[in-house]
Amino acid sequence: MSERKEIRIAGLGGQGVVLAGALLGEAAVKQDLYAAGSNSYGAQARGGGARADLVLDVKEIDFPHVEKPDLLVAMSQGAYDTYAPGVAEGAMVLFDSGLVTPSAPHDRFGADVTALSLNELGNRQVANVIWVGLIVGATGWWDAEVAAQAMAEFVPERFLELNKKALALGLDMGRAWGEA
Amino acid sequence: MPLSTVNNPVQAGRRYLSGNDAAAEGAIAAGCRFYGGYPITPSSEIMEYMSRELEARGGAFLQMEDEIASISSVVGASWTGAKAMTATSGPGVSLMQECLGYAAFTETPVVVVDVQRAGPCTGQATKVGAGDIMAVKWGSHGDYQVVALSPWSVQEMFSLTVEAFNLSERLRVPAFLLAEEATGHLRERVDMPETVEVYNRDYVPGEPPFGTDDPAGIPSMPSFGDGEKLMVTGSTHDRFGFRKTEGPAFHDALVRRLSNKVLSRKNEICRHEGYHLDDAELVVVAYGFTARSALSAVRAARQAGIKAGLLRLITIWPFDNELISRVAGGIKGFLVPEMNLGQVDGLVRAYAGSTPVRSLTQVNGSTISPASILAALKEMC
Repeated sequence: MSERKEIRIAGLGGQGVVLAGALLGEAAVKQDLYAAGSNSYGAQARGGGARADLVLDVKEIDFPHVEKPDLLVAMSQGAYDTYAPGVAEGAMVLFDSGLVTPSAPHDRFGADVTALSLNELGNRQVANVIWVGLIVGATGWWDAEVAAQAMAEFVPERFLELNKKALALGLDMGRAWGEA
Repeated sequence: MPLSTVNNPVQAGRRYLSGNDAAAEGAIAAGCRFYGGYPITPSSEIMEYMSRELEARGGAFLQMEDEIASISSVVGASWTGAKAMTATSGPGVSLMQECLGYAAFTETPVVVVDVQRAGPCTGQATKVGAGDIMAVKWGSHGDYQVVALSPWSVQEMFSLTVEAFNLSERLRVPAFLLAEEATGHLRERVDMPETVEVYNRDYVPGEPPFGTDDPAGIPSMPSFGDGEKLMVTGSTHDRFGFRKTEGPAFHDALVRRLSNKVLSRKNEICRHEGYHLDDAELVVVAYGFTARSALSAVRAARQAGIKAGLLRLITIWPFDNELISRVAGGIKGFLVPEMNLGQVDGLVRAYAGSTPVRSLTQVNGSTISPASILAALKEMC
């Protein structure tokens, strides 16, 4: 990563959007990047639409809010419909293909992450960590090892193994996307 | 007692931290040992942090029944010798005004973190605003001074909270951290220092607690329990705290001293930052979160060939009028973007002389974008 990147992760309250954003911000700071994160705040964070925005840069960040995402992760149809039209030119748009029907043909990076989480790992709660892996793998903006360290700090000990598997699952898929 | 360097009691090093958590850590680093508060969006995380941490660090935490009781508890705690604070938002600031006047008149160090939201009244509880600029200065009746500092980053949510405590302790005045929702809830990289500079209030045994011969002096401050004959009253009082409501000259001198102890030290208190000011023709005067939008806009303006600069006010109160007058000389205009209807704009106008001043206001509960500021700069060319 060499210049400012804007990231928006959006979905529904309860999908772990805010945690995913915080984890990625923490990982960025651990690898000496500048990071600034803002979340949707208020009633919508408790059941309605949820959003985690993150700005990354190699230098100090002046305006810390996301205006035109270089990366959008849409975990719900509402999030896709609201935010996909506003992404930057050439942005990468990732979506949960079980929950989102994309309207733009270039949005080809879809994976049924919720079903994957449930079927492969037996727990739908770790879908957001699969997403973290996908994002890290697809963009190459984070060091995967550092992301794993950050994740370990966020996750209770008894769920660590499960989350490691989720992260690895996402990383493998994301890397394949990154090369596509 | 001057500034002393102490080990920072919170985790040092590079961290990813929210603004409200950083303010709470700044308070702990400054030596805060009492928090009395009532939760209010968007400041509540500060209270939550203090409820978890303060007692473990030898302090006391009290959830009060409302903001009036909160600030009263803080004033009381300060007189026991504790560095004391509360955190709130606009509606809480309104309720605290009577006791803030009491703190000012009794020369009680207190720190109030105001994480501003869109007002007036209950307004938009979860949305950003910066409408409390005048309220924190003029909200209580009579003439008095406060200190108000305006952070633009999570780093400054920490460092300016420490500074608010230091100025409050040194000057014996209420000090505000005048933050905004967008900074309180921002998570950002912070380089947490190993040590911090703290000021502990001056106390000379036997010295009168409420007066000096210096018309801008700051008296020694004893605490209850120090063995002094100590009385604290919100009525006019002599230098030993006895009510003295007769004598117009006496009251006049007291009120003037309370103002002058702050205003005569403006050069030591007031801080600002300049960006691209050397050859600037248009200067954006901004503070708090909006200064970050302004810096981004100024950089974009420079790329478009516009000689723009940013004057960022870190200290809002006392207001650095000489700074505005100084910068006004030789420029073509000021632009003052604010998340209120022009509260600092009026101050800039008052000291800008013949330099034109343009106000850019936004009170819709969202932050001012760099594009809005850039567009205004282009119109001024």
